[in-house]
Amino acid sequence: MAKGYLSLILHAHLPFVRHPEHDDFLEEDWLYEAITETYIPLIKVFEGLIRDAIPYRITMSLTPTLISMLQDPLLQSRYIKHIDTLIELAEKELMRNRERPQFLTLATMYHKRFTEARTLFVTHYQKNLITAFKKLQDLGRLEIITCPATHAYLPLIRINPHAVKAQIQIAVDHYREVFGRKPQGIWLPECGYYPGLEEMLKEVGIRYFILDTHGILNADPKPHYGNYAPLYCTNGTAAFGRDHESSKQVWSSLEGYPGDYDYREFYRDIGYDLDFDYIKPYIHKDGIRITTGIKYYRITGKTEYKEPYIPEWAIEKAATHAGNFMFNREKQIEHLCSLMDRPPILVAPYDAELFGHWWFEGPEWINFLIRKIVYDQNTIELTTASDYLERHPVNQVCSPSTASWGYKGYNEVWLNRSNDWIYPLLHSAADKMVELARGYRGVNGVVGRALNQAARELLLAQSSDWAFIMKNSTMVEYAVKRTNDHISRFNKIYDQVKSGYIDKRWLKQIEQMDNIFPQLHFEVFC
Amino acid sequence: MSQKAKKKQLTIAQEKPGAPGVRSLKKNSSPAVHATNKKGTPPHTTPPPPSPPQEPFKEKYRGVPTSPPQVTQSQPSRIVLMDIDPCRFHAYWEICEGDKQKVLSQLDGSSHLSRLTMRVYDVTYIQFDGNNAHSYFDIKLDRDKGNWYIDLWSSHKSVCAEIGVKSAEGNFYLLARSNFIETPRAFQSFSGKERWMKVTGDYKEIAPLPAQPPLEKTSPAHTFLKIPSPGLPSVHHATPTQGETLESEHFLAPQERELRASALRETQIAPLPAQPPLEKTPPAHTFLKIPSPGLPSVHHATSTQGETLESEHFLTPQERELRAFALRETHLPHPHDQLQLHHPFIATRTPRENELAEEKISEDEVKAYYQRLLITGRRQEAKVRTTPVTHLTSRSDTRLKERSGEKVPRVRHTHYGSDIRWEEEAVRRSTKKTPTF
Repeated sequence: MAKGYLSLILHAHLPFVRHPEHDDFLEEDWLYEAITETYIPLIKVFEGLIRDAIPYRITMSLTPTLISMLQDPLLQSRYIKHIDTLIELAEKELMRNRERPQFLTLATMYHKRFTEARTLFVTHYQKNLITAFKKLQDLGRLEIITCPATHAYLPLIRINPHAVKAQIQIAVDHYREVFGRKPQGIWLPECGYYPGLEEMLKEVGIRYFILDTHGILNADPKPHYGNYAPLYCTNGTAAFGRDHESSKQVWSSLEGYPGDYDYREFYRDIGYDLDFDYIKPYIHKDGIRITTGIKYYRITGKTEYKEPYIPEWAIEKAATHAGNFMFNREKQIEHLCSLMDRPPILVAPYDAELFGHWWFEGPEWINFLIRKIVYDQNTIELTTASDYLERHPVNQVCSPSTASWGYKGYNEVWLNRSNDWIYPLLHSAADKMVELARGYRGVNGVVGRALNQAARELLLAQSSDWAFIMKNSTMVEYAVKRTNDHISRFNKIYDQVKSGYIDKRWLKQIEQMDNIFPQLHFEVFC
Repeated sequence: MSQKAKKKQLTIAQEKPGAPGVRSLKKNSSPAVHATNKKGTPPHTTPPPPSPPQEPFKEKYRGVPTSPPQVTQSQPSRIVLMDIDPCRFHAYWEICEGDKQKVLSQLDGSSHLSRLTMRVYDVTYIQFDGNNAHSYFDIKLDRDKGNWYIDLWSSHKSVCAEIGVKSAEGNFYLLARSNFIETPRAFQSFSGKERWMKVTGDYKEIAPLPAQPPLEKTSPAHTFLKIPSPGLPSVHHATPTQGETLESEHFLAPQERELRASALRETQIAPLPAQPPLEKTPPAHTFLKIPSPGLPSVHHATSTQGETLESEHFLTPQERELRAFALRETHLPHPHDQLQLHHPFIATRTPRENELAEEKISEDEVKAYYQRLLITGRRQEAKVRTTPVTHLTSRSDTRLKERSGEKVPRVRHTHYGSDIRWEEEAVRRSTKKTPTF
């Protein structure tokens, strides 16, 4: 019998980026890169574990925006085009490096990865990766939790509770539609929680959510077991706290595993390194250099000098790091057991895109970690939050504190001088949406369609990603454009509905462009 | 074109959509207009959102708007607050011209002396009715639409703000009231009252459970406030004395406040009957110090080798169980105090607070300590009642020191939000020409 639990949570999210008006849109590459580098490798790892009959439990949150994009036929076909281009580039790289054996090995590796990804995507999963995740959940290995509809940062839109409620309700409805069951838990975007949010979660039947460490530790009254056991909010919804130690070992840029010198260097990509004329067909059509995914160097050290990547060393290091992570968790649990009268739970949430995309060896690290936990020790047991609640239904009642996992632990990342201008627009639009939903209840036809589209535009504008990008000063123009576009479209629909004249042609255009949540009904904002 | 002329033209343009020059004006205008302080420097250096790049749209999607959203109709006056972190919040406001004129018309001749003002109330733990706030401070505003970042003197405060016109006589004419916000707690709760609950699948069963055994170590809140430990009778209660209540309740979470109120009520209405005195103290109780049922278990016997067997001869089976339980409890440290929790957001105790927690200090000393903390501590609570502490305070303090000849080291100030201002100030001073004679 294990002495304690480890709950790995991978939060997979990308904002809804879909531009049918352009043949080649730079930001759509976020999805294509994540499919090749993160989602397919993770699925391969999980399926490999099932093939080898290794019992494991792991949690993933798939956001409704990501699910919608993965199921979208346009983006699916564009991904195939993208991977075909990459295969072509990898073939050219095989030729270019034929005289350099060290690089030829790496080119062969990339060529194999790309062709394999294409085969899996097209043949195995019929272009829909959600079916693979669903299968893993149905087999009892993966627990998929939901996330508010467009990953809105809830503490900053709560001025209108209907906006928060709609984000949650739409997410749950969407989850049920996709996975055929209701979600047990929810990933609050950026772990953003405020007291009172649990009431809306309970209304839709969600049993638990995840908080950052200080959200639990600063709870009132003082939690008996710190963040090593969940808390019940006063209404019975459970809150799990992130374990700081296990997070730091993976996340930290200084002490974290991904910074090891043997791992692949993310920033040395042939999209930037090679001659313009050679790489031109594989970068953006306007000549903007982009990352292609083919990277030949390892981190090597803190200087600009880089040496070629050696996959065997990196894999060996991933195995060592998995062993180190497990050892530390064992010691942590043994220590906690001496202080607690119940098995402690360590909750370790990470962004899924860290594994594979940023940290190339990440999926292998997960693979090694799970296998080691199952075979090499008896202290830790992999679990999910809902399994824990089944086994330990009695927990302390506390009111968690407002918290997020952003810089400084509260709302500053999403509300500061770079992005505060969006909130008057978002709040005003939410108020107008509620006004429309109440005023036109039961309306169908073109007006109903317009109102549904207004709801979509508002939801897309509320995505926390735009405020985050504005703060980080990368791709700011795109984030500003997206916020302005959605609010403008919303306001135009509002005016048209109020005036009684709806431009059907224009409405059809934006229905095709912003086609997220086709089943959405505007009355969710009532 | 001057600002005034630009504004006039924009007004005309809004009235007449076809008027010339509208496009250029709109392009330069920003959705967020910021207030300025007395010196005329913008308090928040938010860059206007850049206009979206012109993308080559396909013919099919031509006509889909990409321009920044424009306000299509006048909104009622409003002010909205959003908490940023434990000691900081954001306020944005928008005044409807009609509302403002209505108020100004009431002021008659003195309207030119009135100022648009934001009034921020501390409404921690109270049902605000417009008049019963603990304290408030005013911020003068120069614009009808804008936003401010406001620093508080303490975390875990409930705040509400009003926007209105302050007349020359000091009367405040309300235009709009904001939402209420509660800034998060930046420290661990002092309350050790524990409640437990059983919840089974899909909320089918939600059952509150009796309180767990009391904590071995009494928390500072318990020591100070004398809140009854969970599951134990309230032996001592603080008696409310005039003037004391408000001060002490500043430290309380809402639940603690309720607890305290109920404890006080209990004292006034129905004092607990005294425990029936034992005619003859059984030797077991004297020796083992087993907590009598209904009394707080503060001290427990520690087991020493050879003693146990001897002493247990006197015990009934129930007493043995009780003793075993008490011993277990004594030897089980409170997990939270033992865990090595290194987290940047967790406020650690000062050595003084540790002493308080260990009950080495008398109650009066504890009170005096917190009073001192209030007056001279990190945030000046007492001062706030007369002089509002905003983010300008730290700088003005420095200026005063400088004027009096005291040297102030020019270091990057770490106070929330004032970094940029400090840098600006440093640059301004360094570039200022020294007059030569």
